[in-house]
Amino acid sequence: MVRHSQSPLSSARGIILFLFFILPLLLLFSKFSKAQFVVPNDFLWAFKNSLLQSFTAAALSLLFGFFSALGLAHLDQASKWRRMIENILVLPNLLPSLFILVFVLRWIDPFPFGNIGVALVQCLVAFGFVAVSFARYCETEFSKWTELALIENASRFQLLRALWSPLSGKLRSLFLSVFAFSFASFTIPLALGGGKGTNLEVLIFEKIRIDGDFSSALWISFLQFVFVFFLSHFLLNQDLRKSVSGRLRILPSRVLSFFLFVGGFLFVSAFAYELVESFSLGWQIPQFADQLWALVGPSVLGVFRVWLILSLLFAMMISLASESRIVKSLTAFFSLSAALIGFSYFSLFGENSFWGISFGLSSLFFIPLWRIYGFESHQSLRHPVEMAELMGAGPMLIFFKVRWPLMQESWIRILQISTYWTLGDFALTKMIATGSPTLGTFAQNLMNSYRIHSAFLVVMLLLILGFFVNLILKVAFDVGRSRS
Amino acid sequence: MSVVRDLKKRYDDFLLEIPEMEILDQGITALWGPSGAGKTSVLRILCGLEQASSWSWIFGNLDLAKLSAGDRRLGVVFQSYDLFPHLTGEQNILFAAEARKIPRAEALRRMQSLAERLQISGLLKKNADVLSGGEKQRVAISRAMIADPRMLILDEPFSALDQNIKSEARNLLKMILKDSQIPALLVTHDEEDLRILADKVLRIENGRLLD
Repeated sequence: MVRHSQSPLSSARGIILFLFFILPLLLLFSKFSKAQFVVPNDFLWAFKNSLLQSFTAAALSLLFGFFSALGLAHLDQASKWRRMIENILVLPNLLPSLFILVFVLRWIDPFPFGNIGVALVQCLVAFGFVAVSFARYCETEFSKWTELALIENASRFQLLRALWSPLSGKLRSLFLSVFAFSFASFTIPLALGGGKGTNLEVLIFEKIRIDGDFSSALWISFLQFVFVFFLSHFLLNQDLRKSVSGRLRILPSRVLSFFLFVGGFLFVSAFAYELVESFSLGWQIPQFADQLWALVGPSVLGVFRVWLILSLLFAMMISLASESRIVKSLTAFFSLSAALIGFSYFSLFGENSFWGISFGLSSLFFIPLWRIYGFESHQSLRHPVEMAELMGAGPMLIFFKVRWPLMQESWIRILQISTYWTLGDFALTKMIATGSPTLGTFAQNLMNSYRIHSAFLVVMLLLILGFFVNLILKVAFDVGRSRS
Repeated sequence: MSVVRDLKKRYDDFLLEIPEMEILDQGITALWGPSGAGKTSVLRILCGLEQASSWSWIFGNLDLAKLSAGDRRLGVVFQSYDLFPHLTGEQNILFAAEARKIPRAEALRRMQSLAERLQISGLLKKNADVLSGGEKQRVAISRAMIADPRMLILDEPFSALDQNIKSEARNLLKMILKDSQIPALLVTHDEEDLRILADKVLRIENGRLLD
């Protein structure tokens, strides 16, 4: 490694970044450090629920993801059909949870609230990611072997048996990935857990919001953090965007591919049906439109604030060396409780603070978005940066001429996805604010009062609003880039 | 003559051990050996991309080993050329000049001169990622030379080229190095490179220089 990468300034930036993400924990420890830890009676019960939900969601995601991957691999990687199905599969992972929640409540009636319902929805969100990730992994790693197996006339079963060892490693990694995501999930258990499906995240929320028992909330959150931290040690190769080397033979299935098309078609049809239905029924509520209009401004401003904070975090992250331990640790191991983050910023900024909400959302969103869109590109900066350092370029020149231009696509993607997540958030916002200050909280209130059509309509408007806000961002970005 | 002394580094199952290595301060010194001999490790340490303990590289009255990679003021052309893909040929070359704080007017003058000699004037406005292998190589050489480096380090610079343009590229490199009087260390496994370019050959095998 070139010596420049280890400069004290770079280390300082890394430490500041790490402190930002650890801030909620530090803040609450400083306030409640003297509190004695007594395991609440409901801790083990919530822990068991968390385990049950996460294990079921991970197992189901793996099952559906595995077979979907075999169907996906039947389609040529470059074909538009493949891209379309992949987009549909990963969509639930990228859209705000609110959308999925409203969607399943409309289509699964009666809905099985509790552990099973939570696990089902978490599976719905995650299995597409598993499918795409697994299909691409197999195509990258095994395409040549499958060609050989085809020539040797091996069966699908023989091939799977021969490849089991590397395959099982990837499957285990994906299982743990979904498990960790579900374990730290807040929004879905909060909305669908009911009385029986309270997980650790919801328990933390209830300890703070209902019981006012901050020290228990802090300790539960700390234990959860440690659990997820160690779990993350086993997570490897979660990348979605690995380079693809060839086409798989034997393993892909035409039948499963057909089912994927049918599933995709049903999903899109249901979506279109809901949209039409919601528009026709939703507008029948007279005061509805006025309330919505009043929330558009604050919601969009919230998005801009989150963009600003995420951009600063992103700039700090990419200014660090790709091989920096802080970058790798934050990316691989870091996951804080959403409830804890919410409460921490509530205590820092006070009730109903929009900046508090924005800081909370940013620290919640940045790491998962970085994992998907930033980490791999950042790793590929290593060589160009080395080259620039060899030429004697200083940190500023490298940042503005090498790091930033090569990472700006990732930056835009992160901001674009954060738009939908910010607009759709209700869980963290409710930790800090009362009432319905944003479109997301408004939709959730409608959902809670079983006005599902109206909730769906708000979610749709929220997505449309997000689309237009992102369009403005993209146009501004393209104009800025062409001028530079 | 610059002298590298006590260059020693252990990798998992490989020991690089060079008690002394003399590099010409005029003309081309070739470091030649088979794959896995340790050529790339030597190059990376010389460039400052990898660290080794208590070695020295006496160049004039300076010990380059004690300087950071950027301060060694070397020009490097890697096997894959490593042009910045988002920049044009011109921007790639001027980046190196900016990094060395060469005034803009002077940088442009040098670039024009290099562009004429390396026949890349027509490539300067093109994005690096659309250039062919040979074109990338010439832009990479210009980039390495624009800041008037102490030494040019060339890592298998012809290995990515088609056979029919290798010979032309070798002759062009030889001519431009002769004109500019910049010493070069050429890392290669190709005997044809030695025959056409090398003024001195250092043979390396299993991490050691052979006499």
